[in-house]
Amino acid sequence: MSASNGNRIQLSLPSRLELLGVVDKIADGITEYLEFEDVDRDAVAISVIEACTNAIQHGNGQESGQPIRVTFELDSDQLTILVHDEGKGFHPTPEDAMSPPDLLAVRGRGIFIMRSMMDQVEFDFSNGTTVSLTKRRSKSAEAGTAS
Amino acid sequence: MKMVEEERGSVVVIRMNGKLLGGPDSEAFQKQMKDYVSQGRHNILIDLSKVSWVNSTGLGMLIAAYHTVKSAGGKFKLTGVNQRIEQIFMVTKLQTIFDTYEEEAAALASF
Repeated sequence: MSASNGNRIQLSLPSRLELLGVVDKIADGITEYLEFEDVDRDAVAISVIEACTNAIQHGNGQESGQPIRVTFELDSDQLTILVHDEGKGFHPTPEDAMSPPDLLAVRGRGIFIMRSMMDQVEFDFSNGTTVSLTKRRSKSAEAGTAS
Repeated sequence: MKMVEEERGSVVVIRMNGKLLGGPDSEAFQKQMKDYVSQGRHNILIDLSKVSWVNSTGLGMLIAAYHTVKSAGGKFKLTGVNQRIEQIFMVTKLQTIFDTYEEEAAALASF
């Protein structure tokens, strides 16, 4: 079930790597608000940064005039983040998706990191590229909120 | 990202400050590593205690530096790794190649 507009936070920012710190702060604030556990808060922030790095570098080719759009959908049991770029995109291979790169490779870890840290990662290449990252609330976090 | 260099005996300590994002920083950092190696300064300690986070491109910077120093017969070590960076090292298994120390004094003593 997708979040209603009342549970959606959206931002648009120029394709500049130095602005990733802004996204990081917002992601961290949202997971704090949702009372995610610390390890999950780090996992979400790391994964959002990776998705935005890909969108800026590979999607929009670091064309600062081309924005990336980041949407946070807050549900009672999970957080979904959509990262959209308007570029030609890239097509991850099965190897990108599932296996770590050569340990000493300088590049090629972004998708593997996202898949390792999030519960679900999906790509949509129908209009630019949209990466969907989902993290479910841990049972202990849910119990803490309920009490 | 800002970098400050400090000589501690035979070790060059590089204190990084900010976020390791790659991009333009990568080229400057790699050039600096090559300069150290060409000057015979082969013992490198990277202090990450003021680095809040690293993305995969920033990891690439560290790996490229590791290659440069190790291929010249040098030693490349890290200190000041926070929980978030440690998590990314664990996922990528880079903790198996990076020699990391909690305390700078222990890192310096290990060269």
